[in-house]
Amino acid sequence: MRNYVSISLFVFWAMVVAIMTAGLVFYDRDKTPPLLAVSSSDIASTSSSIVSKPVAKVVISPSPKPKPASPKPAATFAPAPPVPVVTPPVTNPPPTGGGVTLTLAEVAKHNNRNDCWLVIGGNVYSVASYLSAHPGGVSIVLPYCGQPDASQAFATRGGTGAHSPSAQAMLANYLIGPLNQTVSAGQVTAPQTNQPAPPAFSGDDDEGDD
Amino acid sequence: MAKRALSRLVWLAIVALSLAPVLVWLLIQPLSTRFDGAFRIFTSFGQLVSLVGFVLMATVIILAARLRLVERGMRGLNHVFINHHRLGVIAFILLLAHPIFLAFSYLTFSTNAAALFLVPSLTAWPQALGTLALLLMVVLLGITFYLSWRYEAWKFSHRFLALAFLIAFFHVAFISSDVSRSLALRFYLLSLGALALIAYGYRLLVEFGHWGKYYYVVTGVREVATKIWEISLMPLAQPLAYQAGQFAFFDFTDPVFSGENHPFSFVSLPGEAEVKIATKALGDYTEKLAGLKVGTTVRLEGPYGAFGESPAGQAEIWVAGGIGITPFVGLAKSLLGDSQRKAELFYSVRNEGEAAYLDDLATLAKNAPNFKFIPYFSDKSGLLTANQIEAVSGPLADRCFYLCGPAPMMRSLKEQLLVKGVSASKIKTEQFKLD
Repeated sequence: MRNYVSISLFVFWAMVVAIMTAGLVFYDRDKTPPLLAVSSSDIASTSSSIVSKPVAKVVISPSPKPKPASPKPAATFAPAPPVPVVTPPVTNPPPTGGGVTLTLAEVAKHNNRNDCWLVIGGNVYSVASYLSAHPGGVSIVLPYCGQPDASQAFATRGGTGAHSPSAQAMLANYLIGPLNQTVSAGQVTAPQTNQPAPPAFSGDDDEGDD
Repeated sequence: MAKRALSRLVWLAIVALSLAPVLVWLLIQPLSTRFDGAFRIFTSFGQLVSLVGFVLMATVIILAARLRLVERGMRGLNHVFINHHRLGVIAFILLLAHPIFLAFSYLTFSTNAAALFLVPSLTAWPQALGTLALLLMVVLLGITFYLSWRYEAWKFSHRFLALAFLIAFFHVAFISSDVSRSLALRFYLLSLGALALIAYGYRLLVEFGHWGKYYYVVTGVREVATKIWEISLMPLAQPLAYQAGQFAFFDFTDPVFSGENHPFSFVSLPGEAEVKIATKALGDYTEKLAGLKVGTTVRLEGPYGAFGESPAGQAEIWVAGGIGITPFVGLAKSLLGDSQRKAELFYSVRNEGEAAYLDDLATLAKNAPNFKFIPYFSDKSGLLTANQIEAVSGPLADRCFYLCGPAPMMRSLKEQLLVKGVSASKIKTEQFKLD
């Protein structure tokens, strides 16, 4: 029996050390998801501090009143836009034609179980694929889908404490971009694949998160 | 037969207890969503090992409470302890795998998330409790497996595993996961955990209180062979009811023994006025027993053990090695009035000087036709082997064996007997060191 214990302990510590080391070595790379690096150049002043840490807990309130960066925000949510309203002047030019601007109005459209965007710390996250795995259940998150600001709820875990650092790190993987930024359509439709990670996250972060 | 059934029932209960939460877990949400993609697979395994690990840990604590029913079911406290040990190892390995699987699931996101997961943080305190519990287990079981501490020091350290379990209990109670969402799972795990904690509380009360204790006083100490002392005791109040072949834990209240309690087999018969045990000076503690003063109060806890309980009818073969003779002394005496049972006792010791109760057993063999006594001196004839037993007793294959002696001797003999075609279920062993 002792041998089994020895082997298990060895594997356990080897894994712990390996994961911690990898975490340290790749710390900077992971911290700034590639997607953000692209789009962070021209963000309205408010969110710049949050960019490097997309999961910041504080509400740098992207209040319903939009930022100076988008002069005509109201235009963007037009239900049936006859003209490409989606590209406000100030933001980055999307590489191809089909860009989407992450305005609150756009966010508001993604308000259900199958298509859920969350605004946290001035960033927009598309988390539908994760929802079913949320340890606190889907229904707890659902009310925040498409809402102007879920920062407070995320930071306090709905008033029950706080999300673990690992949960916060996970959130980064669902980032589409900062609020009011224009991103390519591809980034919006497949937002979760911005990491060399499994394509199908229907994750569950069992241990004490979300 | 009833005993075998009870033994099966106990095992069935342990397996059912461990698998029940897995079943509930499977029913909570469709299986397809549980194993969909690497992230989910790792998470699911992480959850499964923790469910079974937690249940086994609770079971292990319940086993340590030395409950009578469990002892009966497992046929003797030594088996309870062996199972406590085995199940404990399995639980520990499963629980070690728990955070590793979960870290792997985070690894599918980023190394950063995985590393952060392993670092306890106050913001995620329910998770940190789990980490703390596991680290405490690692340290305490490190002591158990890798440091040879003195028995009492080890025992003191081992107790704190219950603290690790308590912390793990709160981890389960407050973590947000399937256990927080499924009422059935939550109720199950927390009740079982509470049960284990109650069993542990009961154990503490027995160990440090007056529950289940019998008070005796030392009436005599005499040397019955080289470095072997027989200690006689008289009850101060209600005497303990025991059977031949059983043992009890003895706590001699003299301060030199610093509250240690050790198990000894009874060499006396239940009907005798005095309780007698015999001890060989093998270590610090047993050496001190030689200097035991008449009049010392002794606390007995027991009786335990099912060694020597057997279906009567056929001639049994008993093999004693050294001080392992003690349970057989009582058993041999009990043969006098029990014509149903027959036994041949092989007593292997180095030489005549070290053989305790030699005369008593020889006299007994003369008076009881159903008892044969074969002393065997290894200084002269080497180690006792199955062949030598066969030469005396005839074919061994269908015989029933009772072995008590040093562990290497029992192991070796057992192997030889298995080769001779004896079935493992017919070989009963008793360690004289319970650990």
